[in-house]
Amino acid sequence: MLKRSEISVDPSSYVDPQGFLFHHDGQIYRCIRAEARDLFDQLTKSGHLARLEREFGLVATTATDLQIEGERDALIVSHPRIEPLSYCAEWPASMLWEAARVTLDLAIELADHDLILQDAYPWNILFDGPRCVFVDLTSIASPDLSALWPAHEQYESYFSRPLTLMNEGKGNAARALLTNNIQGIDLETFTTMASAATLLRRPGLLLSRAIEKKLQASQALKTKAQDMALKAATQTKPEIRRKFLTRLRKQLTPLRRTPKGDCWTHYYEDINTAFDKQAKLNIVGRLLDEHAGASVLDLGCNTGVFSMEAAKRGARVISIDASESCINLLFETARTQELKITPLVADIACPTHTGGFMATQYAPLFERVKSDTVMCLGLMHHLHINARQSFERIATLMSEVCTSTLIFEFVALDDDNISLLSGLRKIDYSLDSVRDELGVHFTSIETHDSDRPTRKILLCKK
Amino acid sequence: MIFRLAVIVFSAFAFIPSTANAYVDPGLVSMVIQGLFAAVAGFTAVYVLGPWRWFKSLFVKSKPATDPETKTSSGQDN
Repeated sequence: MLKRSEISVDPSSYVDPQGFLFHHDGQIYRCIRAEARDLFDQLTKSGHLARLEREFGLVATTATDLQIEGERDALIVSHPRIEPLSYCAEWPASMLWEAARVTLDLAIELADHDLILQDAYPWNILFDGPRCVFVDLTSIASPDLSALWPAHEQYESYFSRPLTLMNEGKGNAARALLTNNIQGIDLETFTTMASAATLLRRPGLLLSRAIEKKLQASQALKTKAQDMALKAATQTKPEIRRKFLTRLRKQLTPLRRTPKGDCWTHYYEDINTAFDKQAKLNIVGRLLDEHAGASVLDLGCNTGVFSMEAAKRGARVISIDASESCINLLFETARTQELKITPLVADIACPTHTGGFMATQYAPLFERVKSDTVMCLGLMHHLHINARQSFERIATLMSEVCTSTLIFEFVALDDDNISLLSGLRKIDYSLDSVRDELGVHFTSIETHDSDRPTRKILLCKK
Repeated sequence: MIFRLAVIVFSAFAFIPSTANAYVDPGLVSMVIQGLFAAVAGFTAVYVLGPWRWFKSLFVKSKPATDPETKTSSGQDN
């Protein structure tokens, strides 16, 4: 019997009356309360749960004999730890689309067995490398008779509307709004931001907005609408629920579009042929062979050339870049080649901050992506010049996200790209000054050649 | 096309400012849409598809029932 003081309830697990997620002894468990466990016992016995895990991306679940003080007759199950934790505000369009697909396909499959998903939060999804996993087991429940699918508005707020905006090239704005884990992108915000072409193509959106405004203005009308909607929903059969979900799934298909490239999409391919790209690949590959740990973080990964080198050597890789187009490409490549890479969209100089209620529910990005090995290649000058960070602060950041080894590319002042970034500003640093700052946090630093004379690869060890 | 234009024109008053009661559940419009979907789907199933299937059955030969002894059990849902 576990005492309450021996477990740590996950701060984001507070809404679901069926149970809660907790941590104990380094493992993740879920407590399914007594009143909800019958359903899960049936799903396990019938083999349906195993099928959902195998074919529909449901998280692996293993029953345990554990008990918790105060939770009589509860079922305690364990789940594998999936890292890194990532949130929808860090996903490019392709990852958000994949999350929407898994959610809807699971909901449709459950509808065939007269079950529903109670919510359609993207927080129910984690990415294990490029594989999408639905982790909120207790979202599965018997149908709520108040609607065909009570989670429909959540699905629209967190999947359909953001995907539509991303397809219009408004990915950064959509992701900024997705940091609101209570509201997502509501109808009013969406109709304001969506292009005229989208609104003309989907006049139902304007009609829905008009209905919402009308309902806002009249309490009596709101009550009447609610009663009518409830009456219609309670008299429907499971087949109609399935049709409704299938219709949403059909509407999802055209939202899967490759976003337009930006100035970084072809950067690596277009590097001046005078530079020896293979030499850099060789040196980074050798350093990864000799020093890489089980987890690798690639900061400023571009299309992931070096992330793929790390993943091919068996590491679990997290790749971060501010370019959605590059991250999108990397996600598709990782899926196709089955590489354990989780690519995320984030500005390293201004990453996803802590969020949720009282700003404690969701940890900030750099706390979640700490890795044994960090690669910071071709990024130093962007942090120093564009983001105006001193090398003291850059070195501190490197130390905070790295637990063992840093592979850091130094870019000299006479590098072609420095003049492109610095403009008329006076920039002053040297290899020695950068090494000195890194030396505050790393005990040994080796210098190696890169692909051009103006760059060096520094291997820094803690 | 005409239907789309009609919907757009009808929805134009969505952009006319009005005094609004802020206390509206954001899921209410979704509930209304689902209620309409359920009503239309239910009506279609009972009053349109039902009579159509009866009408078709007058002209289409029904297939012979399979011998129950030759059916295999579907077993576990797997």
